[in-house]
Amino acid sequence: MTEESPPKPFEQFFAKPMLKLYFHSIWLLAFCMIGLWPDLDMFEFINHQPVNFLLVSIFSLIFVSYVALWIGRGELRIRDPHPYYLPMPNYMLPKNAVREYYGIGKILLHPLLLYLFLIPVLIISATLSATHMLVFLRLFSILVVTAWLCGFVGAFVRITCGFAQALGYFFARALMAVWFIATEFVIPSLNPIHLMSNLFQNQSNAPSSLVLEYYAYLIVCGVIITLLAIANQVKLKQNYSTQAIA
Amino acid sequence: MSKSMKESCPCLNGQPSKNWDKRVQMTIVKPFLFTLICLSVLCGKPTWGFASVTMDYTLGFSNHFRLNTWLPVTITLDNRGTNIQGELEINVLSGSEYDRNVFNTRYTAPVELPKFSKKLYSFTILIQSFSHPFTIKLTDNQTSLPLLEETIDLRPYFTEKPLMVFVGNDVSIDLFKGDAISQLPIITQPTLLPESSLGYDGVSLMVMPAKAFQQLREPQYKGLNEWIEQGGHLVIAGDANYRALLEDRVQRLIPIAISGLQQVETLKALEAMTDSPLVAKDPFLILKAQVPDSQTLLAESDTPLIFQKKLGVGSIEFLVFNHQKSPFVQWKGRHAFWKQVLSFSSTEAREDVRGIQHKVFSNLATHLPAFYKNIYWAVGFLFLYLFSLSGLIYLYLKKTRFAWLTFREETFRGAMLGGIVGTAVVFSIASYFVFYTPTLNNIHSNQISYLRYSGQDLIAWRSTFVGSFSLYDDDFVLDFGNKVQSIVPVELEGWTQPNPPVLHMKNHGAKQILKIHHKRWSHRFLRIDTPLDFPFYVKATLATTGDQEVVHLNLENRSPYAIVGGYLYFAGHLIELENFESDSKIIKQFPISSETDFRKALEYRVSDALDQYFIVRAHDKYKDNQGVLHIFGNLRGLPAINQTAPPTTQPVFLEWKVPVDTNPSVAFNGYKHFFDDTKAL
Repeated sequence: MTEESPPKPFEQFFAKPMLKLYFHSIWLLAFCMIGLWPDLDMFEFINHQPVNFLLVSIFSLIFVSYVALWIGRGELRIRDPHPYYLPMPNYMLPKNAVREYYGIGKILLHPLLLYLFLIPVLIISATLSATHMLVFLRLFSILVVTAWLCGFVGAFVRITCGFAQALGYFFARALMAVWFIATEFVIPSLNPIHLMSNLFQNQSNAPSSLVLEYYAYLIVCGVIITLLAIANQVKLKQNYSTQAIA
Repeated sequence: MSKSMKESCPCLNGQPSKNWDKRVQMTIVKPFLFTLICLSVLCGKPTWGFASVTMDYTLGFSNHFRLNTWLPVTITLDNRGTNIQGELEINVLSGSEYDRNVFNTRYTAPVELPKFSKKLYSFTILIQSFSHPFTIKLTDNQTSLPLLEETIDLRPYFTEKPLMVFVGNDVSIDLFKGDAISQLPIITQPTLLPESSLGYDGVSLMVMPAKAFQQLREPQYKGLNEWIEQGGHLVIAGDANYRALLEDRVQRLIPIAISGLQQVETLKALEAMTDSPLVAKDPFLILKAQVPDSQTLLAESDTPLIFQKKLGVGSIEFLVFNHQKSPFVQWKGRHAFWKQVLSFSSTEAREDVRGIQHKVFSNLATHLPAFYKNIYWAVGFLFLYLFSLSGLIYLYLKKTRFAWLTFREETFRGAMLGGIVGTAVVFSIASYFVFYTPTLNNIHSNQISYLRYSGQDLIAWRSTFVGSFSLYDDDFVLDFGNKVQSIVPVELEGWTQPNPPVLHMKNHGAKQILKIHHKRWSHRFLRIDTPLDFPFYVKATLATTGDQEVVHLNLENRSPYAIVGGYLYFAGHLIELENFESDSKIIKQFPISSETDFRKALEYRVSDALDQYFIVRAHDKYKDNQGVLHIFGNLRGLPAINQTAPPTTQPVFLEWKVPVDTNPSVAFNGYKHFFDDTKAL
């Protein structure tokens, strides 16, 4: 491997592919929102609120969560001509390779940056549904926490299964599918789409059980994230020890 | 057993001990007594330091009311305890569980009761359903706990017959035994009469002795006055002791001049009126009276027996005899007599506007303004956002250093990076203020007023249809000042909602305030019916000039309002009318042509769908009737229904029904002035 310039802080965040991704995510979401723009007269919505914001939020949830999973699994190619400038711990890099570490902090920050660019679109769509700001913040917190969860799942799969392997590729996506789809049939309270839909529909008189479900979701995700982060660190140290011995 | 134990417990020694007695007292008796005292204080009914208030209520007129009308509720609170500051609340449930449109209306009034005081509270409420219980509650402001609560089953109290109310303490309860009449006779006390004209909604006739007027509170007297002016029918009975008839309150209503008493043995006029002989054991007294500006409905030779005086749209009849005394009390013709008296009312039954509600509210709903910005605003905003970002991203990724920049490339790129993130932050904040904050004006309301006026009654009936639509949880408030309004919530088929908002009508001091709490994306329809002083005068005649039929119309507007965009409708003809400004006259004549295409004229001249609806409605009913002419138009300058709003700019549609004189006694000859400047026609 040729020697390259040392990585700049947060280089992955503002690498060319990522900047393109931010730009495309904005216009895709905006296109989705414009496509769902209410076309009916106001009185058609009385007793039937427009679901524009819910649909746009779900779209952004799936999109950003997938990107977080993708980045967490190390599939992002950010420097050419080096085939993969992976976010991996230093010990896994070949000797003289550029040091770089994509750790817990970056997994937490990256989805926030992704959502920062989408906030204007989310606010405009929240206006269309006359969504209360408290509900907006709750839904936004679900978006962020779910993206974090997917990022850590991706990193976990990368560390356990390695990168550039079909098993890891499908395993990561299968986990995401389980979280987004299977939970709806098994434990609906843990399904982010189900929870967002309930919070959106019951803005006026959200029962206390729904609010508790919301907080339970955040706590469960926080616990899983913590466990995954710890598992990642443990696995990394194990791998480091193995490599060192070797 | 130890010696000390024996010493401490004398029972073991068989000897009593003073120490033991003291210990028993300290450890058992005193705490027991203390606990007993505490329990008795907590569980007993102390009369000091706690509220002790009783309530007495009357629903309607002597606990009778007509369903689907406004009725008075009088509540007397008697406080025998400490000062009370609270709220008196009446909860009325309307609607049907079957139709899933049950809704709650709350009427409240603040209560301030010093200790050992008694106060009377008067409400005017609307009851549309007898199947739901009716609740009266007194709540303490400090503790928010109910001090009194009573739930009343309405079934024993309601009737569907109009009420015939007899006021007084000595009305015979046997008066109406016998023949059934279409009215329900009720006896009530003067102190229980309504304080607003609206409370007489279910009353077709009220009979009141003159002496009862002195027992009325000022709001009651004012409410009675307004009721008569708005079409009420009052009968005042005379009496040999006629002093009460000369009191100011009676004289203001009907200026009776009494010249003395007359002794009679019978009244043939009454017998002829009822086909029933009036048999008197002894001669009885009647009044010799005159009432200026009145009509004599019945007279015995030259002695008037029944006078009728018009007051506004209503009337007052004055009887020169006392129907509560012999020989009238035993008279077999008294039922027929009162049937005749009922027929004296010349007030036309008010049009039931419920038939047009659906059309009007649908029109309101379709004109609901969109609360969000046009799509082009969003497209433009997002285009600007993407354009700014793309430019900054391009500059950031560009590797060539600009020669004219003195910054190092890294600093420049750092600045571009900051610009990218900053752009996202700025546009996020901008989207909040440009798109989100304007929608925080949550309640959207619009209204249409429909004014019905007939001839030159001088009082028009205004039905204001109000729609309120809310995007968020919020309250819709209307302040009506000191006027009790007839506010009827309307549930339309196809527009029902699972949790209709609660209506809260608040008596706040002298103010009437309506508050409706809306949930998100919910609506509420209300109809507010109010009488309106309407000094518009008209004379319409149909005359033949040559071989042409011509309608001559003289209009005078002495009101502060103007009629704009008006139309005349007569027997299938639709003609445009010029604007009719305040304090002006219009003299117009138009020929009646046999060839006329009403539909074409309507489509050509009238663009508003709702205006077309009202005109077509009149056409369907009166197209072949040459005895009635309609004037349609929009009124300008009408006050808003709520006190806090400026004069309304919302549509006010007038429908004025004018009787046409088809056989004028004097042939119309040019422009003849029909109006006297000093008095109306």
